[in-house]
Amino acid sequence: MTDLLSITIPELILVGAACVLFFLGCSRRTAARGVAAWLALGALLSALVVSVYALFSAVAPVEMVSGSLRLDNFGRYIRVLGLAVGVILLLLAWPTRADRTGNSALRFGGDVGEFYAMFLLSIAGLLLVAVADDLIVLFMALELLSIPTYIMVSISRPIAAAQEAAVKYFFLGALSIAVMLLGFSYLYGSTGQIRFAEMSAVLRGSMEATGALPRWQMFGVILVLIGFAYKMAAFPLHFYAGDVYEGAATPVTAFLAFVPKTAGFVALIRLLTVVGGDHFKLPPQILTFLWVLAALTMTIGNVLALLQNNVKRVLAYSSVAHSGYMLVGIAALFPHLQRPDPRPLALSGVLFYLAAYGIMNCGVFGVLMLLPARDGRDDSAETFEELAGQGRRHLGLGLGMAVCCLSLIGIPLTVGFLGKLMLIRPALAGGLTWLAIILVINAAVSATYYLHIIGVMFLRSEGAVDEQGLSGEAAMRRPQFAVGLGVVLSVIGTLLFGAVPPAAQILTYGAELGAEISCAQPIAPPATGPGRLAADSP
Amino acid sequence: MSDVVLQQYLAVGAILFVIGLIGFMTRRNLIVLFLSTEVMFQGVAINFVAFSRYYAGLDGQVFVIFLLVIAAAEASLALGLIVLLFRRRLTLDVDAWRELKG
Amino acid sequence: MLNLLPLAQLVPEPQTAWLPVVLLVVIGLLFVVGTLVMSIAIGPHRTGPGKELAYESGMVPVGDARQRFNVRFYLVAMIFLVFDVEIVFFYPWATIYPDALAANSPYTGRLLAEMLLFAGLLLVAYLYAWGKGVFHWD
Repeated sequence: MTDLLSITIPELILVGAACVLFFLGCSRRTAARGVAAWLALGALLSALVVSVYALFSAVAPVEMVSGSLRLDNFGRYIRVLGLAVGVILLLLAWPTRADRTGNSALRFGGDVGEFYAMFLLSIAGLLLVAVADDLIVLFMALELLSIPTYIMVSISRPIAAAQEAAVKYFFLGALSIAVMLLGFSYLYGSTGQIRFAEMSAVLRGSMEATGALPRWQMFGVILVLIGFAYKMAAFPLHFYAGDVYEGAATPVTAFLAFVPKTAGFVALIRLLTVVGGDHFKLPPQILTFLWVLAALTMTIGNVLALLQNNVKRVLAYSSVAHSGYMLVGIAALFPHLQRPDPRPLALSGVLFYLAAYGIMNCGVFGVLMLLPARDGRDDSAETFEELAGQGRRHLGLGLGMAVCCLSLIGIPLTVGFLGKLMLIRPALAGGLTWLAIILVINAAVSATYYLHIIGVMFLRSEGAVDEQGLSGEAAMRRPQFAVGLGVVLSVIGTLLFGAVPPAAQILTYGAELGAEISCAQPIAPPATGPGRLAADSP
Repeated sequence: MSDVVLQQYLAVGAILFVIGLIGFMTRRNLIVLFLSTEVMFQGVAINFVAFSRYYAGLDGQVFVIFLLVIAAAEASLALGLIVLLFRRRLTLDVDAWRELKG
Repeated sequence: MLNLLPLAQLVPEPQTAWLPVVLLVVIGLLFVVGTLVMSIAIGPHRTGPGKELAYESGMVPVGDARQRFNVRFYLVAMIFLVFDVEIVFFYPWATIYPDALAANSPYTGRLLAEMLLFAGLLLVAYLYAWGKGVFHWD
């Protein structure tokens, strides 16, 4: 038991920095815009240091007195993960222009302070999702995560596509939140509890009594799952991915592919702990639902990715497919057939894959940012024509792209391979053989378009370089050390965690630590019968 | 509150939600789309208040307060996004968007 | 929930409890329909340029009714919307804070600090809007 301040130090750092950034956003001076990026980086790094220290030092979960927040190892791991990948994402969004109004792919003009404030607030939302211990905080954290992302998409580029993407993202997001809230209301209504600890006690009580969840509780859980699917970009609500990822500026796309997705999975895992308790004793219908969701998500994602012409759209739908892979791990959380319990393995697999996906994803989008657009747009490369031959022209970038794409396929010696392995093993151990087979087939299908990207970069000859192409080259020649550093970090991370055993062990150890998730015990006797309000009010 | 009365409130909440959902699916005007999401939110809010009263606790009402604040924040955000888009397109019709096909 | 209404407390039977409402609706409908029918039946029917105006014997209308509002209006509306709703958090706090003071609760300081933090965050938003020049009207 501890109080609010000591439990939320990283979030407070981020929110405090965001407040200062808003003031910097009011200034029109170039220096203020330069300071803004450094301030954001400093906030992320200091929060990261605090979180890393917390992950490797504390063991027992801590709870807030009123029981709205609960920090266990799962939350500590998500903090480290979110902040570490957040640093790379920030490097990709670094304002490298001379007047600090953006970089080769990002053009937020004067709204630098606001952009980074939104960036930090959204990451703070992600961290809060991981520690939320009742429905209200979970809802508020998800909104703190989402609302800034809508604004980030809108101000990331001064073109109609970005604003349309923002509106689309916003409206579908509001729809998904409404569905999720309906599920929340039925969960609250059918259990009478808003705190996860007591709610979990009621849910598990009805599971033990009847072996299944009552209709309304099940309905609530399914609705909430569908709402979370939007954040994960998973099957029923995945279709926005292509448009939104294409319309947003490339660094924001990388942000969208990691932060909301991670939050969706974190919230999903938390919800499943509430329903099934520490050992994920889920009702079979939910298992079936997750099974179908995983299979459909990866298949649909890959099929749609095959049909795209725009590289960002390919990556958008491949991000849907990766959500599907991680859902395989989620489906394996349920100890099927009671064989050697695959649960900790499955959960650490999902957590490992989240980290792996975050790292390699940043690499791919970073390379796209550094490659010039062909038609003279001062923007990142987006189509296959623009990528053609660029691998030979810029060898380092080409190799970086190749490494990250191979990792996304899951070729050995990369972190993506280890990640897929850690998802398939628990699936097999848990008896989900068919799902594992579907995963492998999908990984093979995904190789088609990832190899297509690499092949276009190295094998296809460049198109005729016209005058406009040269102006694109001019944009390229501006040094973008920060973006380059972000790409280098992701490529090194992809290789280091995948090919160097000690590094891989550290990440695995972190993921195993993070898999120590637990649901709080009820602190007060549940079920305050009717009449409490009457007694309280005069 | 008896079970029967609770069911009536839940029915109203569900009907509001479905009206909002249908509006969201069928209408083409951005402002009306936004109104539809608000109607869905209010349906959920009715559910929460009814349950809160049923269990004679305050949790549901607290949730509704936060829900209203979020709805207001989303309203101002939606206004901002829509005004931005309107200045560019001079229409609020969803079909007028041609930049992103999907 | 219904039994909170004083009316319902006076009239315990649920069937009779709705009677005043039904009466109100009936009288309202009768009044509307009645006045419309009366004005059609006994009113004089004349027309002319003066009668076609939007405001008879009022201001002379200028321009189209569907004028574009100034964008400033939307900005202020948005800011109002956000700050207006935050008041809802002050009210519950104001109801428990005097009790905590009276009971010498150890949480008094924390309660005050939390509300100050909240108000401070709102102040940041206000100062930001100010700094962005939202309150300049010309």
